[in-house]
Amino acid sequence: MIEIEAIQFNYDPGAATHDAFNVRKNAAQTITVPEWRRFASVNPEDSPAAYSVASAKGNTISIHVSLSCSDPAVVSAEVRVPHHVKTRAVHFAGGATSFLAFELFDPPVSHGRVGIWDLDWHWEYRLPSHHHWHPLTTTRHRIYVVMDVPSAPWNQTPFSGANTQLPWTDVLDYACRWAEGAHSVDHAAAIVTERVYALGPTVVTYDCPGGGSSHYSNPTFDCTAFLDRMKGGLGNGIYVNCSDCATILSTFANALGCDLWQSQMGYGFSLNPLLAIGSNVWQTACGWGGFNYHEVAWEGACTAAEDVWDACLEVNGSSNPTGPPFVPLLPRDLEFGNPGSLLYRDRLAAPAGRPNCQPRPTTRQRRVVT
Amino acid sequence: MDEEKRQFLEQRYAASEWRGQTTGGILENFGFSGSEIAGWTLLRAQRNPAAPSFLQSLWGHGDARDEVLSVRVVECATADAAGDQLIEELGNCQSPAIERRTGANAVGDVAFGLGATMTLFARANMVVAISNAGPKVVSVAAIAQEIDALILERLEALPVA
Repeated sequence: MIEIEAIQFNYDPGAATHDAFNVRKNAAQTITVPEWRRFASVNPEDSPAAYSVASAKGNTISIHVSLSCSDPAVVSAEVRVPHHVKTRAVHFAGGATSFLAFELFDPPVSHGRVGIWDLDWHWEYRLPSHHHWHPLTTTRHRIYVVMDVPSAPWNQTPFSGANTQLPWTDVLDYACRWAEGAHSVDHAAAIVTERVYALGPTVVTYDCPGGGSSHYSNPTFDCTAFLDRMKGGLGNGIYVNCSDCATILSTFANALGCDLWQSQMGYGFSLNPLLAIGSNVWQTACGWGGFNYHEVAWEGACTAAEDVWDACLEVNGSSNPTGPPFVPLLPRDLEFGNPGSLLYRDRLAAPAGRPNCQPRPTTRQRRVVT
Repeated sequence: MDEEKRQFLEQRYAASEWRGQTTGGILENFGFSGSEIAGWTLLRAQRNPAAPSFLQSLWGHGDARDEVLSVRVVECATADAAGDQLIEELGNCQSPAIERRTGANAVGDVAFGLGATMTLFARANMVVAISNAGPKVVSVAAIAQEIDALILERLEALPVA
């Protein structure tokens, strides 16, 4: 008799303080509001919504719901989802309601950590002067929680199908699972760095045969191909270089609310032994001895004083990075540093190469996602 | 590209020695039908229209899909622009082991490569990067010859100005 017709999670595209933020599925597919529609939405992934911990902190989160009633004798009722949606009265006019605000109990975003929640909401109703609640319907939703509204290259405006830089839920599917439980942006970025590096050697591996060429980041981030690769397809092939890794890492981390850049160092410097993504051999990157350039995910102004995140290689974390013993260290939130400081630069570049391994902040960018 | 990086690459790859050595003619809307590389199947081709436009293609050999090649063709406005683009492409390679290819078997107006597993060359206004994309590494030398021959054939078919 009473039915839920539609549910809006992102009812205010201009804000993310009391509702979900703007998302799309991928480069080709949009997500329309209302996210849940009767008959059309069956599985959790048919009704996706994404929330920002920082934006929603301390605020009441609500959804907007439209209902219908096929019994003309019923003009009002109370509706709820135990433990999820607070009870409110609804009034039918001509057998329907407009979109009505319902407050949520303890929504996933209030937990303050990254994750994906698949929710089954068992709706109930109660007619006036009746004490008993009756089952109404069950709706299913996929809720993504990130630390902050995604930063560039992702953006929130305009909220239209033409804006391919709205955050992609296909990216959040990986980023939120990877960083599940992260409670800060640095924590999230660290986990994303680990997960990207761990894609080697089966999903991707360092491009020794191609001279360390870019396959996913030249000139834009071919995220569609990368996601295809992640799902077992060919993508743009198995090989990646530093620019690819920096772009994947920063773009996925920024989808979680991090604020990383892709930035280069160089040019033309000799290396310490390292473990390139997909390799278990300590050597100077395919045995070349050096790099023409290197690119990492970098914080702030991308200078020697800022921290880097490198998903392309592990450096030697021992007290002497130029030789054995080799202690694998994946650079996460590691200051770039100056020669002699035993930070990122000293661990990556051989002593003779360190003067040429200079931060190049003019290369700082966030590649467009395609 | 960062100006210091460009200067580094121009010097590293001795650009002054090869700039201006170009075949005449301008090709437009270069595409693959799928039969261009003998023994290889065109798996995917995608054109990116942003300037300079490029065609990203993947080619497979055999059924196992462990032999895969990436062939990227960048279409520049002029032959001079192709020289600039060649520097851009070299700027996306981390390895200092890439060297210029000269001699009778060299492809294009100017070519660079790493062993036989990667080739990057410019011919007229086109820049072509051929590299492995599958776990089984194969030589790209013969394929580079075939694609360069194809470009030359299409250049020769252009109407005389």
